[in-house]
Amino acid sequence: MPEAELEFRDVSIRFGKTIAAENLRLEVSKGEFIAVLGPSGSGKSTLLRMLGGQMVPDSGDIRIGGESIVGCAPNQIDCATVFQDFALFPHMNVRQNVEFGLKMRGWSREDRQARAMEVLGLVDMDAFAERPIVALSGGEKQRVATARALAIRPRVLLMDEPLSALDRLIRLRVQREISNLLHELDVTTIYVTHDQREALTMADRVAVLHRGRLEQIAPPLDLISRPATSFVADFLGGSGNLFTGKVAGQADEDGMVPVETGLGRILARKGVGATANGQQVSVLVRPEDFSLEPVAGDYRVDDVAFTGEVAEISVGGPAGNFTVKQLGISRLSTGDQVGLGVPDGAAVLITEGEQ
Amino acid sequence: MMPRQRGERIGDRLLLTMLVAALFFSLAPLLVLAVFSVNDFPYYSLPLKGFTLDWYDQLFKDEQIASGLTNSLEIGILVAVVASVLGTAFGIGGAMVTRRWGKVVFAAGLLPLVTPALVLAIGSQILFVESGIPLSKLTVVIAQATAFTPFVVLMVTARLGNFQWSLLHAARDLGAGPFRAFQVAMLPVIRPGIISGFLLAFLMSFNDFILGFFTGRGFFTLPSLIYSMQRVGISPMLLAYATVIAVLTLILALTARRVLVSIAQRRGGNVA
Ligand SMILES: Nc1ncnc2c1ncn2[C@@H]1O[C@H](COP(=O)(O)OP(=O)(O)OP(=O)(O)O)[C@@H](O)[C@H]1O
Ligand SMILES: [Mg+2]
Repeated sequence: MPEAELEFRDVSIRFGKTIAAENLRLEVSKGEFIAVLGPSGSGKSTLLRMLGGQMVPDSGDIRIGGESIVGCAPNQIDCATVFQDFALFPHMNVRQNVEFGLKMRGWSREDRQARAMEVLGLVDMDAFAERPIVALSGGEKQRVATARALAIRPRVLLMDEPLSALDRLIRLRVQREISNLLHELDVTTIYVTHDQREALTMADRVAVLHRGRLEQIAPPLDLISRPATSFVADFLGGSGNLFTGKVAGQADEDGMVPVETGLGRILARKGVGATANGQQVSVLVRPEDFSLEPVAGDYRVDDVAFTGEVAEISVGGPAGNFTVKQLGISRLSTGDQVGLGVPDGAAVLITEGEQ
Repeated sequence: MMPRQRGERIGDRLLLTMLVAALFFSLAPLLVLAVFSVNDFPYYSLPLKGFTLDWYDQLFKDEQIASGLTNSLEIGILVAVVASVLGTAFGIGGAMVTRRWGKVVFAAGLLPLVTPALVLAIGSQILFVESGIPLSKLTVVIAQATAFTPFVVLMVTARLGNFQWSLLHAARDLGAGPFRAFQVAMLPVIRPGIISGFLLAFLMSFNDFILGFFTGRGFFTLPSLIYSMQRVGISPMLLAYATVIAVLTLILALTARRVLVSIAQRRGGNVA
């Protein structure tokens, strides 16, 4: 087993009463793109700052390429950061910004210039090399900041919400560009965001942080289909479709577990943890996985909202309120009585408290 | 273009009138000085007798004035250097303070700004005398630097009002040591503030009479020399002196402004 490229070993840090990292344990292999996802204040930026050497953990160890970086000055750590506000030096032009890290490493003028033009080419900004920073748009600044970080060939690239300053359409385009480029270059990347779509579309694995704790780290699909905790389920799954139930039997060979719930007996997929017969569990059903039968049933349609491609339908009944999504235009309208069902395998069990 | 409103035009005219009045009242005394400084007669009376540059000639040949000038320049430059170094350090420190008690302490440090010069002067004198420090040029420098540093602090903190602190982190992140990071990320932003602070401290030292009078012994600065000379009557030579100083100050202020603007333009920033 090769040494992990980047490793957090039980890293904790707190500010007064605020816990910004609690026993973080994380291994990242070379070339991996990790998205760190979590609500505001969950410790995402703190994680990056510890990696960049701006902050020192209270306990635990952080290793890059097997060597501890705890206590090293920021300029001694082989990371480069793309900051949320880009932090481009305003009194330098684009090329000088990109050359700065190389200059600090003692590169000659010609080598610097060649390398700067090379990375600017990677982000399609070579034509802007002599532009002053003030004359750049947000998207262009973002590219220059990425190029500046890549220029020094860092072992680990750190990005702190690098797209949050851009508007939606540009953001969607740049997301794809960045993730393609970084995968192509095989750069190990830690990418902080609080936009779940961004995390899920860009990353190889997504780490979900909550109050300084790592709730789960998994590939995007696993995260959606098997959230480890109800926080993850709630954070990723949208609202209202987490409910409780009781395990009513053993898992079969396919990993399906019978569960007794307010919506009747359903067959749910086994979650991340183990389950025992009779155990109280949470059950997650994604809004698009419910089946709605347009027959007079126990559930009443409270609202139908059409949001572009899907209809979002709120229903209420004996087991509570749920959100259901249907592709296309729904024929249902407020006040209709419908039947609500959970197809086999549409639900997933969430057994918390492991670790 | 929008048609201009009548009320607006009246407002403009009022503003212009006030501006002209203000200029007149602040420049009138200087004009009077300038006019009498070239009058060929040792007393002030109209009509003017004739044009002469004799008073200027006397001024530039006067040895006392020359030594006063040397002292004033020496002290002024020292004070400006000390005040801009300290003021820059305090300004940066102050901008970094986020806690409330820290802000209070910082504000207390700016008190010399609003303390009457006479109070500062007497206070400094008592301090020096009571602690056995002989009054000299050095004590003047110390007293003036204390009094004028806050002006530099203000100039520097104004530049740091919306400073992007991430620039410092970015520089460190890319491999710069702490000093290099400051030089690259912060210095260009605060440089205009430091320069104007330096010039301001120099001008205030150069024109200071009160602090120099109370905390210096055994030498004259230009202002204290003038003060002692005018006790035996104001010679037109002093008017020539005042005119020269006024013109020099004006030139300095204008060039300082131009230097700042050009620095800002080269850096792609703004002067505000
Ligand atoms: N230097 C500091 N001093 C005191 N508290 C801090 C400091 N840095 C972070 N914190 C606190 O630690 C917690 C985590 O902060 P962090 O900036 O890592 O959150 P985040 O996940 O990046 O949030 P956001 O999405 O808003 O950027 C917050 O409660 C924050 O107030
Ligand atoms: Mg953050």
